[in-house]
Amino acid sequence: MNTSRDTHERAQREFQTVYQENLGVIYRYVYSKVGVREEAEDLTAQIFMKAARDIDVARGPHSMQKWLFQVAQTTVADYWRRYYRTPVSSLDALLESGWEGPVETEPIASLSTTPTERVHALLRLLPDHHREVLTCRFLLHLSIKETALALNLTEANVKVLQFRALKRAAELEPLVKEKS
Amino acid sequence: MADEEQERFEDYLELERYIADLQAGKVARPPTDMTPEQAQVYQAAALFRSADPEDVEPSAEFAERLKAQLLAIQDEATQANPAERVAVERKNVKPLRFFSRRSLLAGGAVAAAAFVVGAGAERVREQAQAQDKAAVVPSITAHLEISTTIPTTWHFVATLAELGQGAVRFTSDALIGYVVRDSATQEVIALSGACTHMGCILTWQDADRRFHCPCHTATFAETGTHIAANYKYSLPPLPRLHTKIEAGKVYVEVPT
Repeated sequence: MNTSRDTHERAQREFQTVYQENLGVIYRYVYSKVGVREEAEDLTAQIFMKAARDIDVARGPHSMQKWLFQVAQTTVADYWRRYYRTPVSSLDALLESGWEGPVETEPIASLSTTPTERVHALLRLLPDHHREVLTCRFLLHLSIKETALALNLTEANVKVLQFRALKRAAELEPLVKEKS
Repeated sequence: MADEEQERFEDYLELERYIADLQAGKVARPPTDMTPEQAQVYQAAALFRSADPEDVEPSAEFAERLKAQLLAIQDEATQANPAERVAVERKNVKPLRFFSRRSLLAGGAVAAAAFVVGAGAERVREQAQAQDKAAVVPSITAHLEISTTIPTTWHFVATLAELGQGAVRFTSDALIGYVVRDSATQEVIALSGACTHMGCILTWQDADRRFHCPCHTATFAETGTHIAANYKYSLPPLPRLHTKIEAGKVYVEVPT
């Protein structure tokens, strides 16, 4: 007899499978958005725990995975929103402050490109001087001082350059997603 | 395209501070008060940081801990009649711990959200079935279990008379918290006073008998449970501390 308890138990088993199969993807995605292991772990835990509690909302493993990714996206967006200037209660206030509207839901495929792949794709799109400073700082782990020496710049220049390089990279990121 | 924002010297310095923290593996906090354009720069920094192969996979330890927590949530969900609660004996139970790494409050106290899952759920279910009663759900209470190798002492907080029906805050080197009388059971309990979100010290309001967080508006019931309405996240409950009452005085167990 197919009771609601059976359905519930089956949903739980499916969720456990979804957990096993998606922990890596979700963690990597979150980590690429926050850059710190501890924060990534905390947010990942929140995402799965929220999904586990709302388990009956989703039906079947595929829609559970979709639900999980949606929760991941909103959780990450919430994390960053905390640092924004305007209180985020009003959409108008956000738009006024220069926000360009809700981010389109990332296609699930892009959630499985690794951060390394995305970074390298971005580096290829950047002009030379931006690419060099970001390569020095993030791929070679050079300090400001070492980067200044390597690129024959002052330390102050390096700080300005890395800011502008990251800003440019941020502007280019939507292009990378479209290509992949 | 939006007008170029005036770049200020502080912008470069703040960004460098953030990148330095990221590289050091520390919890890096962007400045508050950012515009969306500024935020994008920091998000790009986080992305570039994450290209480093170190830390890019979840640790096995983390994966196991989270799995255990999820199973506990699922166990809780399968109990019928979640409205009833019963104190669960925790004999012969191996506690599972999830330590939040939120730390460092003013004064040097550390918020340890030790999350002990009552694995007596199985036993309770069997008992309930045997007695043919509605199955009961142990609420997931979190107890701070100080390591047995660490010397502790009983820290005096207040007399029962002073406590009355309200809550009294106490401060010690390692712990800041509250002693409160649970109005439902009249039991005197002690709780860590650190919000399980980011560690800010909560304030008690007599009016609604709840703890309020001054940083992000989280609220907790007098028993330490997070009240999730109108709040983005589910937070762990406030850890309970061990208390004793001797000669009308309330003490809480703290590390010496």
